[in-house]
Amino acid sequence: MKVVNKNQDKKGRTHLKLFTLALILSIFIFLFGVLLGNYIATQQLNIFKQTEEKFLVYLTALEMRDSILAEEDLCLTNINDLFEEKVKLGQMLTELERRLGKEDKQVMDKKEIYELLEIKTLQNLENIKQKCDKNFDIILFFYTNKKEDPKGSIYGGDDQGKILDQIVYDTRDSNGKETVFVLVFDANSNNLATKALMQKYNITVVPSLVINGNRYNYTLKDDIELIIQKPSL
Amino acid sequence: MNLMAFGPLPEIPMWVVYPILFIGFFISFVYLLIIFFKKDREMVKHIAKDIFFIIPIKNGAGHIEKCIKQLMTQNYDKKITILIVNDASTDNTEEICRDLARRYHSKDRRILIISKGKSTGNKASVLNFGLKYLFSKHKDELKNSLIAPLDSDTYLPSDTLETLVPHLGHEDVLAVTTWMLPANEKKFLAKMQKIEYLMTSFYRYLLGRIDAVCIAPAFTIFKAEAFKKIGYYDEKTLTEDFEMALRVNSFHYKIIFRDKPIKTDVPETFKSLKKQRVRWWYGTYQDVMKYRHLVSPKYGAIGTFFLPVTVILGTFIMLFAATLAIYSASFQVTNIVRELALGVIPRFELNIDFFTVSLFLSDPKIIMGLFALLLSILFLIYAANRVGEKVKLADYLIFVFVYGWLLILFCLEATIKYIFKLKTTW
Repeated sequence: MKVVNKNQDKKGRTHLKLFTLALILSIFIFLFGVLLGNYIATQQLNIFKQTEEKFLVYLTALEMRDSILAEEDLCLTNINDLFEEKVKLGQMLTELERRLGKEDKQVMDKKEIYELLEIKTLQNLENIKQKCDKNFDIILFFYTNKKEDPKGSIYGGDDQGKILDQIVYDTRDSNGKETVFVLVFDANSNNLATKALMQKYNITVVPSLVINGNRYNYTLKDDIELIIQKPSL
Repeated sequence: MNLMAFGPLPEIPMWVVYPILFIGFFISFVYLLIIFFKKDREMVKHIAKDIFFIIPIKNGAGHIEKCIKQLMTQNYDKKITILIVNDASTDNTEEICRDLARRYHSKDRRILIISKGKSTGNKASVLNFGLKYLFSKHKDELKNSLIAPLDSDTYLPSDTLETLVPHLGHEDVLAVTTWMLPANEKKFLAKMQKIEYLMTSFYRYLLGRIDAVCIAPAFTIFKAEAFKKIGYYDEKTLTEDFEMALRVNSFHYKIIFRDKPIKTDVPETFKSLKKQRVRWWYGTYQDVMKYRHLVSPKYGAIGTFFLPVTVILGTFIMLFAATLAIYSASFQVTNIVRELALGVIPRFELNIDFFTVSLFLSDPKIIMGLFALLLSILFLIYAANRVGEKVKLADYLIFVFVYGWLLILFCLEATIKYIFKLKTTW
């Protein structure tokens, strides 16, 4: 009843070659995808580094200008422009974290410089607020990226971040300009300046907020609105 | 509301996504290599023989005339007998068939009509009823003849027989089949099925080059002796065509696939499509379980590629993809619920600056996904050109990103029904 194909063995071997070649091509495409992806990501890290450097130069120039010129000129500084650059950097960092992972060495290195820039921005903002009688709020937000952190929960940090985003969005003025400025710090940063800031505000748990100089633990949206005295639009 | 105690659902890890992509690539590259390195079997010419069509029909008054008319236009110099097996139709199908039989009767063309008293709702039993009739009443005529089961809503171009029959010359070939395309392609679902039929026919065509054709669909021409050698249709399965093809291969015979696109009516409503696809998947499970012993190098590419990789692993991937899709949707929904509970209104902002876009594209999953999409578009172009069809790129993208998921969900439903032995019928 059964018909045995005389070429069966020969055909089997031929197909094996075909499948082996397909396997090799699949592995090649996989490696190509991973390598190309990593190459593009490295290029983006370089772009981020350049943007960071430009911002650092800008902030240093701003400080120098303030030390040279009178207080009135300091008050002419457009804080939204100043902050916009920092926000742009922050968004780039978030994208890098999303792509390469929060615990990637290169991302963490870039983050340390970013935190320095944040502290410089903070100093500028505080300076302007103090000397120019401007009405805006400064919030420092301390979080953790460590999954098992005795200081607190990573998820709490994510939620607090979302709440702060909503606060910033809701409290924009009629021209769409921000009136609440949030500066974000990793509580596990090795950056000396960040550590000093944590020490200054006695940050021992995360998430923690420092709103206009006063420290709070995880805070709900309604409570933050009460503290900053700005109702949602 | 403090949700800190409840962590969000974790994201899908890469080790889950990468194997799916890898297997998908492997299958695609096998097909690509077949295009370049494998040729069709050389033709051993088969002399034209008398042919018996078996057309099972149940309430097919709307399309039987078109089907018969097409058969009557065949450029075929041998006798054509059409056996219409009426499966207890409740409309005027039988009346129309008798009228057609009178109109088209000639020396070389005849239409026979037999009726099953009671419908079993099973196509295989109707086909077997026809086969038994032929082998009892026309036994002598069947010697060295051909038998072609044909769906009543399937239409053959006039050169179908003269194109396909000569390819039955090989001793180990029991049947020949061809491309199947939708006859109706105006409505959305039919348009999507056109792409689906085009692609599945194309892959069958390529499998034919490595002797791994495993389907004998709405129209297949068998050597009449095939049914004596391997038996009639299995009435227990819901996909008798797939079962028959696996059986042919289990006896170390082959089905060959040749270029001669034919058209068939496809479901135009969601309900009918769902019913058909769930049945197909359910039947596939039945048949794969029955013929699992074919997963062996003894059966050539059927046993080393088609069954283990394309069918079993392919189905597993589809189910896995369905699970991932459901999980991803749950992930998004729980995130939104979580945000709303925090007083956060979800905003969908699309950042399309160079940095964000290039970083998005740098994800190996995205690079590989785009490559896979490109490869599938090349396959589609090749397939469409081969049979002179046109497909819009926009339709193909909808097919991939929308219709494809629909098929996967049907597969999921069939799987659940098969596992829990829930009833599925014709």
